[in-house]
Amino acid sequence: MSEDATPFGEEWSGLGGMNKVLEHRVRLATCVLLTRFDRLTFRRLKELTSETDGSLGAHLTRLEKEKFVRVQREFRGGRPTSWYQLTDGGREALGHHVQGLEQLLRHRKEGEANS
Amino acid sequence: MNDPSAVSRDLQFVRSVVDASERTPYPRSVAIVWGLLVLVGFALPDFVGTGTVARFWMFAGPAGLLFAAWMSARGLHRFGQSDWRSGRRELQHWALFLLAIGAVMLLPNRGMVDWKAIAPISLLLVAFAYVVAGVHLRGFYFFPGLAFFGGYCLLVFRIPHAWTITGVLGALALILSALVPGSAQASREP
Repeated sequence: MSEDATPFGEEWSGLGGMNKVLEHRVRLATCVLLTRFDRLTFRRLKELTSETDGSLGAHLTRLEKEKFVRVQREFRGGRPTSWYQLTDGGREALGHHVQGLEQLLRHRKEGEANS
Repeated sequence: MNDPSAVSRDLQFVRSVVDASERTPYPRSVAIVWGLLVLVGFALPDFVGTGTVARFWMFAGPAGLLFAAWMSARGLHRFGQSDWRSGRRELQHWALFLLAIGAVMLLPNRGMVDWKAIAPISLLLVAFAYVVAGVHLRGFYFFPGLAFFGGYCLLVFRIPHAWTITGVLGALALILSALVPGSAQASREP
């Protein structure tokens, strides 16, 4: 299975849009936040997700590597500030992922109703 | 996320993060400047003529709006959150409010109502604009809106010094909403 393929197996038809990268809740939350806001700093993302510097940094590097987010660095008061912005590719991947999640939850509901 | 039940927990986390992101601060400096403008501008009709009051608001209204827009954008940038969509919506709301006030001025100009009725009508528009902003934009605006509505009632029932009382109530509501911790997400100066 490729890195971005869905882990739910063939029986979950229509879940192909789900993206392995966005399966982690912090990466998913980061992309959702970046659809709501134009740009967010590392500090603000850390505050919102309650992650440590190292953990959040790793998640953002992963998103950056996948070209889901782009980073702009600026100096403010002599200190570097990193601003994160969602790319078009990231927006598209998130849209497919959310559709897949909706389908997954629908399947689950139907399964519960049938059992 | 292989366990489908984990999806619900993760989505709950995402939701809590998004909810937290909506709690953005309202710049105290804007609330204080508007509090002072309201205090002076609303008390004026009790002491000076209509012309002076109109000239004051013709300058103070747009200038205060631009100052608020600039300070809010600057504050959010320092806060680490760039949100042009909300800023544009807020600016549209207050610009349309100023337009509505301008449109109301046409009524006495065209002889449709007496100039005396313009002040309470304008105050009612102010109260409405604040309460609507409190419901749809930021909770911060809600209580000042109620204070202005109270002022409108004082005017309608011809209470002495109604304008001065309205100015004091409006200014207090604006400043307290910005200073009281946790009040309508307005407590943290970016």
